[in-house]
Amino acid sequence: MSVRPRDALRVEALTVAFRGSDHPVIRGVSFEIAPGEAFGLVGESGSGKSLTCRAILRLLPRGAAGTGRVTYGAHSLLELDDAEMQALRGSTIAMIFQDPMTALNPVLRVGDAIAQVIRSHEGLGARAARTRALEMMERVGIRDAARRAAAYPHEFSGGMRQRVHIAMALAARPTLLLADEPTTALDVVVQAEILRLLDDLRREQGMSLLLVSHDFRVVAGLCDRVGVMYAGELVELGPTRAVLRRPEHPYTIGLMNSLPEAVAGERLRAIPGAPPDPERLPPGCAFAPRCELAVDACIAAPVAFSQTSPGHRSRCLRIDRLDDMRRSLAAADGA
Amino acid sequence: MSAVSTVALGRPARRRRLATVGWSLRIGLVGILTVAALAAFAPMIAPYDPTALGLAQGLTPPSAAHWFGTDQLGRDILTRVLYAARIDLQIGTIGVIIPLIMGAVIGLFAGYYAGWSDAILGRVVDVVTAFPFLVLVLAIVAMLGPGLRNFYIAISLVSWVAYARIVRGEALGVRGRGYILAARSLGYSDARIMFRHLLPNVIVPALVFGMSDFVLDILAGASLGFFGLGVQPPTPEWGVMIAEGRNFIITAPWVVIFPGVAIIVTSFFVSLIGDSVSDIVRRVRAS
Amino acid sequence: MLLVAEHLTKTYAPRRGWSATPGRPRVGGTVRPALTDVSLSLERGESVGVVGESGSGKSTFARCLALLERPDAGRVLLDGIDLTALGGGPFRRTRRRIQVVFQDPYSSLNPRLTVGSTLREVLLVHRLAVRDRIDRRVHELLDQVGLPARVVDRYPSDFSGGQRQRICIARALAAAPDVLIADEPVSALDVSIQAQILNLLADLRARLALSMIFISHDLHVVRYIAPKIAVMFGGGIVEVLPPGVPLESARHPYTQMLLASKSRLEPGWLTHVGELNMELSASLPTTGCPFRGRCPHAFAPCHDVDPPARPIGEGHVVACHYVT
Repeated sequence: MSVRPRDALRVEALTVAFRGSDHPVIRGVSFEIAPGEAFGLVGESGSGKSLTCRAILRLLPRGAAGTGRVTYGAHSLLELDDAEMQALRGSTIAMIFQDPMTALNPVLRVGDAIAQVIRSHEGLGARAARTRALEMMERVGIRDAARRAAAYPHEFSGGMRQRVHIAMALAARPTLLLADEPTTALDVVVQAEILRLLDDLRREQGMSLLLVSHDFRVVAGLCDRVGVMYAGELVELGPTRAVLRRPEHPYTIGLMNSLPEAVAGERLRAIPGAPPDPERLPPGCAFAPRCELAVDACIAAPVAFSQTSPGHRSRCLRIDRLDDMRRSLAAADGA
Repeated sequence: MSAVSTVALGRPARRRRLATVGWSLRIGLVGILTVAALAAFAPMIAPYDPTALGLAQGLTPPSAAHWFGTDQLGRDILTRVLYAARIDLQIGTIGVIIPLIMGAVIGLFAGYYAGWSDAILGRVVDVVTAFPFLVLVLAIVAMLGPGLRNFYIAISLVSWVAYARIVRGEALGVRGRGYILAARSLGYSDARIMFRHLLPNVIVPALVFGMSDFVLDILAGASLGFFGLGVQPPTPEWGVMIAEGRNFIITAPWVVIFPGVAIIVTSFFVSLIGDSVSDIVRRVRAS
Repeated sequence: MLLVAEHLTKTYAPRRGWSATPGRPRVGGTVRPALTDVSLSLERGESVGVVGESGSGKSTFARCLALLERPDAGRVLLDGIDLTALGGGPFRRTRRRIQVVFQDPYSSLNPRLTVGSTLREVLLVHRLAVRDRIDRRVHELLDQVGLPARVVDRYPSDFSGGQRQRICIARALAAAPDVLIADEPVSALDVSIQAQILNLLADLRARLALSMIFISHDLHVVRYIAPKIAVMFGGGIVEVLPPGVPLESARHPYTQMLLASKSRLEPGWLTHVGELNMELSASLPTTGCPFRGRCPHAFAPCHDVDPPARPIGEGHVVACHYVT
């Protein structure tokens, strides 16, 4: 089977705002995903991470509009018309969601659902599509595929449904997969299985992966590079290893400090306050009101990225003061 | 104590929602209050006595002396329409309130306890709803005899079922919510849980239904009046007025038009209120 | 012994009809009980964590402990009083001593009552404060959970998830409970807020000497709050780890699998996860050990006999044929 040429995804200054609001929910986000790379986007609710995924595929909710530039290879995604975009979706760029029940049509048998994807994108006949569908099911780890293909989504457990969802997404062999919290609704062990599956498939098909999660640990598992989002903008970006070993933004450190295993035995250093209202952001750093290191300069004007090491950048004016905050992390994992 | 430094709160939710209430609610409210005021002050503003006969030479068209004309017995129609408003508003109100209370209480019990009380209610509902509403009301009034009091009895016996069904459905959904479980854990009595915690959260759809029921009751009263089983003459009631005037639709249409318009206008205002409230409820639930 | 759960068993009748649900067979047939002979004890001032995934029975267990559901068999004793045998007034008066904080803060507060009304009601119904001291007590409670006094006139819809959870905790504390059951209290919250609430619970535990049962699917979160951990799977407790025994010393194959597959903050941890036996079907085997379908060590006795819980160390209990 031929592998399609691999492209890079480039997001430049993506801004998304809802009609009637002066305050964009995504503010000038830029990042790149090299061909075949796995990139993670971490953030809490309101960070804009899920909307970023949808903006790339032009699946924004009603009333939201995205500006900026998003290119995937030769395609400039924000400028394509609906028909061209529709042709790309599923076949070149696919997406999987958190709750497979909403992505799976409850009245379609799963085998038919997957076959449908194959037929609409690859133009195969019914029988050939069916065979491919069964192949996909086996590939995602559903044993006894021939029998299970006749079942309906509600007869599967959560983990199995997510596998079916992945099979549908990958059936037409996309080169870029956007995964929006694919394991959040799943149990711990199943989560690991599904992440492993995504990792294996990615390597096998040479696919690029954008993995969005509120859980840093999920992203740490299989992403080469990671971006941390807060209140609609990227605050830190870099290779996963580097960011985990030496986080360069108070919010990133705060997120890590919120995990019990990261501070083994000691008290959790919780970030005070709550994620902000997009209508009430300060002109400068959105995290400043919750930051123990914030000074007036932080709030006064937008903070630009500074490069802390190759490929690793952070939007913080107080980078030189982070050692103390990082100490609690170092003490914990004994590294 | 790790206090939350900034407790960011918006304006209290209630005020925010009411501000977006549209024109239809305002029109509906103003309209119905106007009708109610006219009804309340009828004795003071009506030009004549509603039962006074022979004020004019029977069936005179609208004129300066009689704005709505006179009916076949020479009675002033404007006066009768105004006085009839009192009866019809009363029919609508009482015809909703009594079944609402009955149905809500029964539905609340059935929904909260579920089990056999719910099963019994289910069967009763099935039986009553097997019959068309008006037919059943007519049958009961026919058995009990005509008159407003029997009309109310009949309506109550039939209407409560719809309210019970609505409230029971809502209650079944809400009884599993966290705050009901918390109330049980807190050792609150069943009565307290049902009436203080469950009821306020399940009653709104029943109230919305009550608005359309109000209209239905007025029409039922009119229908019964048409058959002579409702309000007895000479008490004016819009339906009875239409019934009595049906022979004169061609020759003296004003006898039928004005009470008819009164019914339509009143129902319209109530519907506006009902629609707006259900809209609000829908928006609140979606948020 | 403050709280004792003895041999709790609960079965939900399988739904018949054409719609099947995962975990339940299509038509009729036997289903594994949601709880099978589960026993647990809690001393005054002690905290126990219960770890389990969906289908483990931990939610059913929580509901039985909180007396929100009657077990088919078994008893729940508080200070020696058999709560499962009580009824009416005495039941209602006694059950306020076991309070619950639920997972979903958005449906756990009556949307029609202000925060103040909710808290005052608890105090009034149980006469826990004299009339003129009620408002003072309400402010005390709010202060304990880190909320300013002015929230008393607000409705729950004005608050975020984390704040609502604080209000729920205040309501639970208002009843002056002996035992607080926290059923996945932070799972629905953002990570940064989770830490705040966890710290709050840990502080309250220490300051008020609360006895707590903390339920979660996350082993590390549970360990942070409760040193003693009970791991549940398939309706039973498969392992009890006492305080002092590190998680890495867990012996039950399921606990080990849980630990091995848990996501962590190490880059590339996924490649170090061993072989995981996939969940093949949504339903559990009806005989023998519930874990035998996925256990790498399953052998003959696992098929027929549900392994009994046996001590293998100081307070360390395991229910596994392979281990014992």
